[in-house]
Amino acid sequence: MRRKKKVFRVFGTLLALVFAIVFIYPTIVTLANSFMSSTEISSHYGKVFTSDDENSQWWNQKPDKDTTYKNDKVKIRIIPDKVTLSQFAGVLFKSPEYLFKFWNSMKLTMPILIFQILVALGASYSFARFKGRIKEMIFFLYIILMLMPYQVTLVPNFMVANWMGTINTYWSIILPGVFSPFSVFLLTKYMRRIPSSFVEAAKIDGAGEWKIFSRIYIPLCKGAIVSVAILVFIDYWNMVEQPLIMLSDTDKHPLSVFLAQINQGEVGLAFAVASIYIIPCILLFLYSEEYLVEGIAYSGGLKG
Amino acid sequence: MDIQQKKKVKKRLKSVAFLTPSGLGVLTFFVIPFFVVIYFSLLDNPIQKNFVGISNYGELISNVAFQNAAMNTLVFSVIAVPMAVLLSMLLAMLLECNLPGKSRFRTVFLSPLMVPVASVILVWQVMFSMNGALNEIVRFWGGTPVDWLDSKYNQLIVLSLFLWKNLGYNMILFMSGLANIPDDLIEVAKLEGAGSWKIFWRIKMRYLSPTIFFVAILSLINSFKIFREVYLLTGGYPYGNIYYLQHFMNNQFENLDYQKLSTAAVIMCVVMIIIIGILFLIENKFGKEVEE
Amino acid sequence: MLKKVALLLCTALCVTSLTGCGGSKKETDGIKYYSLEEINLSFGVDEYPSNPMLVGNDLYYVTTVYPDYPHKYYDDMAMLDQKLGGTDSGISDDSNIEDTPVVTEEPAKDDSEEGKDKATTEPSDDDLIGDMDDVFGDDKPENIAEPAVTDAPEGDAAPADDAEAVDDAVVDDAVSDGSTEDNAKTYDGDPSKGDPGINTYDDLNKKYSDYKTKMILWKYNMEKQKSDSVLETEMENGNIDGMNIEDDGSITLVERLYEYDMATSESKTEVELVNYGTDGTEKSKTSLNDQFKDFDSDTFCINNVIFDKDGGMIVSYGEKSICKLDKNGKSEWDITADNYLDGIVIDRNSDIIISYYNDDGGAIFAKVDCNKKAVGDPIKGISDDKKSSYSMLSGNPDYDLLLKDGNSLFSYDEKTSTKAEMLKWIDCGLVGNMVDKIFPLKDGGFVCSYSDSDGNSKFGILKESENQSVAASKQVITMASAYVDSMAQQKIIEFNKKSDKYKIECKNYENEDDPSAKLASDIVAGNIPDIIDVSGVDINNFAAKGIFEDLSSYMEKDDKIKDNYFVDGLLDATKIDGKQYFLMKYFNIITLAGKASELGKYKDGWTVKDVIDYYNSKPKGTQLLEGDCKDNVFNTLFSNEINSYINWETGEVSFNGEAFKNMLDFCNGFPQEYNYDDAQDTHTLIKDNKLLLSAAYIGSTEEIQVYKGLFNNDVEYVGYPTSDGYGSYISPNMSYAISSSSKHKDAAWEFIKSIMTSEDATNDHMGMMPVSSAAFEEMVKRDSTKESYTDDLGNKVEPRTSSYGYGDYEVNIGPATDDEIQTLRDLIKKSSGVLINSNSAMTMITEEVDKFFAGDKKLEEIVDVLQDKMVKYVNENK
Repeated sequence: MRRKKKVFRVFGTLLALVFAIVFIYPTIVTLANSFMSSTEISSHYGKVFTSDDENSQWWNQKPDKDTTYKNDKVKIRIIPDKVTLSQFAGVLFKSPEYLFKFWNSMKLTMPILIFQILVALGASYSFARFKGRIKEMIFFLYIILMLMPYQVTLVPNFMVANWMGTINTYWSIILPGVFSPFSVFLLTKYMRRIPSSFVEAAKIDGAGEWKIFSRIYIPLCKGAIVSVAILVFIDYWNMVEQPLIMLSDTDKHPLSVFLAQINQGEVGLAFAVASIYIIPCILLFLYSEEYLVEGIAYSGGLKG
Repeated sequence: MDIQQKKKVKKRLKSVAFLTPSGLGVLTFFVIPFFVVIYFSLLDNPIQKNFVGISNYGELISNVAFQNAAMNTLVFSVIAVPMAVLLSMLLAMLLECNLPGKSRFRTVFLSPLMVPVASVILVWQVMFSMNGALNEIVRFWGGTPVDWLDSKYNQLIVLSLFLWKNLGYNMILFMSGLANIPDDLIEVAKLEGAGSWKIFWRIKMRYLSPTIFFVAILSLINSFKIFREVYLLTGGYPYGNIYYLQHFMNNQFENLDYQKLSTAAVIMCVVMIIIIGILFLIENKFGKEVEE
Repeated sequence: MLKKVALLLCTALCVTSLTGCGGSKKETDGIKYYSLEEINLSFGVDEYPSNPMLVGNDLYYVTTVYPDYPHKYYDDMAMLDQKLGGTDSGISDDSNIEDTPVVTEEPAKDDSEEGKDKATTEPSDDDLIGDMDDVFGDDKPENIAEPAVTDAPEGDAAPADDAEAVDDAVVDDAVSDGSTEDNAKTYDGDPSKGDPGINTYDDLNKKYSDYKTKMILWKYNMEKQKSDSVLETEMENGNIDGMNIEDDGSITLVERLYEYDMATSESKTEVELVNYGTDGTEKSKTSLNDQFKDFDSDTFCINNVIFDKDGGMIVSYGEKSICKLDKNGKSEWDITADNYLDGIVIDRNSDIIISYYNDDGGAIFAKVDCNKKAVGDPIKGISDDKKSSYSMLSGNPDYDLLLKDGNSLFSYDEKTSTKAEMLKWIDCGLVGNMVDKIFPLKDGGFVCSYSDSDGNSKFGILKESENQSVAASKQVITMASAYVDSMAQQKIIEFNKKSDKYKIECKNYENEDDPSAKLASDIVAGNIPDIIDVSGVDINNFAAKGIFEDLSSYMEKDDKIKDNYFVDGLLDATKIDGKQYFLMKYFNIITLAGKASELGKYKDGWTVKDVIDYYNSKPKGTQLLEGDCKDNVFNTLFSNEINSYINWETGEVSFNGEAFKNMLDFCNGFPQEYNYDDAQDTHTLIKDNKLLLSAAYIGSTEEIQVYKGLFNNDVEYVGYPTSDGYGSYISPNMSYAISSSSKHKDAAWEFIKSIMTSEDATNDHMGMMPVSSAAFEEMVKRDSTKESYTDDLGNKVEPRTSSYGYGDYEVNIGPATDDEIQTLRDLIKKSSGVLINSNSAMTMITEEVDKFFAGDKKLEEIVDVLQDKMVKYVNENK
């Protein structure tokens, strides 16, 4: 019996290890490759992007393409031939546009993050504290909205932005982002877990709604708030569709869009840019993993 | 009585006050425009604006591309969502077996969450493109290389991408779900001689059912979000079964075809309401059982 | 530990990105309005101002005065021409070019610029007629028939107002040709009266050696509004390359003199640095020849000379060289760049900035590092790897750098690496490509030199003013365009001047990555322009979406623009589903030419299968098209035939059918890339039966004659293969549509009408055919005349004598015969539609097919993928 258990554990650990390797592999590849020189990268991966390079739209067709040297073999390398920071140097010092886009990403994501959480806190408090048929219906509406792919809300968003004259400004992305129902859903789920005894106790102490909200709910929700914030941050940090549609001025595009596009052209720098782009996420992750796990755990624990 | 009523009104007012900012935003940015979308779906042309009733719906439903896209989306969700639920549950159970370095594993499984979409694309392209790493392996073993992203296997690639991204998060949800199962209940069951199979079905599954529901909803959302990656990997018209409704709508937006886009949006919305409604009904039933 | 590192990195990133980008705000509302005040300078008939330079409040410029030859000179020359058997006036023209390099130099640059721009905006034409380049070199085909005539820029010939045209007709021609042909025009020279003793050009030159070309330096005082001559120098065959005026008024010139020896066909160049005192007397003269690396007397040329603060010179010469000479003309350093240099200026910080085009045709700006003697990295914010966007203007004390493009003037701020738009040329009544130099004035405003619509060099002052259209409360009509060329800009300026109710404002999509898509998204957003320039727009798609207004009703109401206004058969070809969505001003015919003796049976059109059969009946190694390669053949066989594989009604597509597979297989039999190195010329290939077809871009009877020559009178325009009918297509130019949701449709129609009816003073349609049947007949008449006459506009029309050729091969271009005219008319009548110029389906297909051509994928796979994707595409769009 015991032996069986041991075998099982070893086997399980191995299985988990395999999964873990598969899971972490792309991240490692990205990070490791950022320490290669651009030439090494293009000799490793050049071939991959040659046929994809053919976005030969009619306005930039060139009769003869220059045939630069590309290695025939594609090798995913983890260990660079020579560790160099040249990619990073290239990104940081020679191509300020990357930093510019990084800052654009910040400018887009941060307001959404902060205001979405603030707005959602109020709404989810309302959903969690007060119940009623209409509330349920509204909550259901939120869920429906949350589940809609961006493409469905694309036209409404676009129309509103156009109507408000915010097209090609960050407002066209920030405003709908602030009112996204996703965090309302998660926070509500969490807040409904808070035992009503807490509230009752506070009420007896003569606390008003605002006090209950700010003194009881918010502190208790800290974990959930952090975990929702991380999710929201990652979601908007990676946005691609919204800027493409709303921001015609490519100078305003965030790094995510830019990154998706340089993949084709400048593979050499792409990994370094991608690594830089991961940093805020890693940071968030490292600082708040405990909260995140806790938050995720609680929010999932109870029915909606 | 009067006081009661007053209290009730006051309570309602308070609740409304908390909801107002979000409610107003949702109303202006999503709900009201959506009615305009419905209005659009009843017109023949955004410029001439002739009312044509529901003929757009008839046309769209009989459109081969739409049928194809809707079918693909449905199939993907039907495959991907249960898989995401099942696999993440298994992973959670695996980790719950007190494996060494449990928290390390947890971190690793969560890590795909933070990798930017663009670098994911980069790596996936290196792996699966015509001249990619996978084909190198195929060549090494003497096979003929396949343009994976343009082959019938591309759905698998998308599926793997989807699972890779979402399993970690789901797994943590399940881990907490498992942790919430009262240990004494299982002990009691064991004492009563219940097999592990029985324990799993009778106790664990019951306690996990809200989590399953929650994970399913999140996975459904994320299964729609995978469009972002697919689009970046294969463009507006991917081969075979990875052409989803989002592609259809996105292309219609680019083609300036507001009618098809709005009509498709409305149809999708209605279908979603039905699906979510059913899910809620099921969940309510199961949830009640748990609470009993 | 990891946490700390990450936190540190993140803060560092934020800080750097903040500091790096915080200050760089885009100044979009910094645009000011200026009004143009022409500086009135009186010139003789042969004088043109050049080399402008602003010193304080004085504008210095140089005029070149040509000798007033007696009639006898032209008699002698005509006789000599006859004696030497010249087929045209080429040689005399050549000598004239050298006489007036100052004038030709500048428009010639415009020409190349415009050519480039065209190439980037209309490559779809290139696509189809890509191989034309091989026949005609880099020039646009319209120049083919006049290879020997001076390189008169297309843009220069921009038509003038009718009234002006009559008055200045004589001058116009002379100027637009950039030569002194006017004398030859007014007096032709009678060969019979020539002096029989003259046998060579040397003799001629000797006989008239007293007649010298003079260059005069003028000083124009802005306040007094008066010009005084400062310096006069005799210069036969010379050029002033650089000029510097010191504060004390002493003058330094870099003069380049050359002698051409007719007998040996060699030329000798002498570059001199000449100092003049304030009174205009020559003080010193130094030869600079020895200062240049690899100085070759035969070919040496100077592109640019700039003086720095200390009187030193930066000279760009040859193809890629830059050197620095000190005040006394001693070389300090010499750099050879990697690319062909374009412009060179000194910026505010006394740095030398050069511009060059990289291999992709992108304009790159870079600093020259004088210490390292190397060209630095591309300057951020303005260099573009892919697009040739801006060109530099002379350095100025108020801005780090001034840049212009065809639409606007920009200032560049080095600190923030950003550019700011300062003015739009069109608002000032200037055509962007015609602006040459610009100097900021101390109290705001600019002095600029430009060419007017007749091609005359002019100076003007741009004074800041209020927005004219707002002041005159004009209604603004927006026009969306992928690229507004000089001609269209000119028309818009004219319309704006004339109309007291409306003002056309251009919305330019030139700098968008995908102009068509951007326009589309703007339309979705409700920012719908009133007029849409349909060149570069997916016309069929836009039409199907109801974006365009059907112009038929406007034509019905109009008293002039009716069906019969147009060349016979033309409108039918431009209609889409029977609706007239756009009108154009000029057009070309694009078709395929082959041997009549072999292809006679296909004269009413042929199919892809016919082409394949025809080719396969020929021995191996025969070329189908010029520049045979897979892509090229595929484009020829497919690009206008795409709809034959698609049934838009049912949504069925047949890309997995045998027809498509056969065609791909056929294309795949051609080489991947054409080897241009040991390519023979088209004529020889055709003669030796090694080349079957030639893509023809037809703009007049000239090309008909060219093809007659190329095919040795055995030519048949079989057209592109097509499954139904005949495959010759119309390539429209200046084509406009009105958007169906415009609120100012009548105004938009008025604009289109004014474009349609505006007459071209010079009768030169720049290698295109006018749509108006009257103008077309006029053109035919002109081309076919065997005797000279004066047309209604007062232009003198000569019988056409020109030639086209290369190497030993030459075709004479003479007056068009009735047959040739009929051929042209038939081609127009038979043409079956408008060239498809932009199409996302085409992009998708080409992308996939290229994988097959490259050998990456098998035919079956390609066909399967295409079928799958196209089913989706077609059904989405049906």
